[in-house]
Amino acid sequence: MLVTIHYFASLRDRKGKDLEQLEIEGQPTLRELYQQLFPPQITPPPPPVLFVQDEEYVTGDTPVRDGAELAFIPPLGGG
Amino acid sequence: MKIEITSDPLDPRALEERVSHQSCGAIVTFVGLVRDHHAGRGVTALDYQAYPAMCAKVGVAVGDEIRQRWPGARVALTHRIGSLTVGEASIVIAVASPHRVEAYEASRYCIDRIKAILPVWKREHYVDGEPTWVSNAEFTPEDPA
Repeated sequence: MLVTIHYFASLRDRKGKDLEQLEIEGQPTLRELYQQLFPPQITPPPPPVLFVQDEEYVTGDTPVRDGAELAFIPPLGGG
Repeated sequence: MKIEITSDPLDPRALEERVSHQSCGAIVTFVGLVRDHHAGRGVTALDYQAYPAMCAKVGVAVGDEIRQRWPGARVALTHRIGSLTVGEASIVIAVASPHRVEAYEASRYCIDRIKAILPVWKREHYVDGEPTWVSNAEFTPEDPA
């Protein structure tokens, strides 16, 4: 299935881009997809995140929806 | 609540005018400023980044929460993005309400919620050392590292 992923802050710096379309295999959850894209064992370790699907916060256990717009939300600094 | 995300300097008075209403006897305005230090280090500038489409949705949700808790309260919020220097305003929240107590309480509630869930990020530039993305104490990730 095809998804669109937004990258922000340190995740954008790591990826070198703010947005990408990705063809993914199987039926991963958002947490599984995050761990595929940013493996926990890399250095420095990826940040803890909140999960977003179609501009709504969801739990990491949520299955990725075909055609979804996804974002992984690293530590927030607004205000 | 409509959240405005802008790269232009902020105008607290404009937000106060937006929430002002004949039914309201008080306005509390919160202005967040770029400070010259953080955790013992000298800060020279900040970069803010946002996810604007989602900020709009979070604004609606937080606005609904505030209206449920403090009926009659009117809230407006503008967050600046891009590069800011010390002393510049990064956020303005204006709350009008029939009486002052609700305006003070709703203002405090609003900034605390915003720091926890508004998709905005901050990178600090220091007097010495590499710029770093920093986290609000209010941010609660699903899977803490």
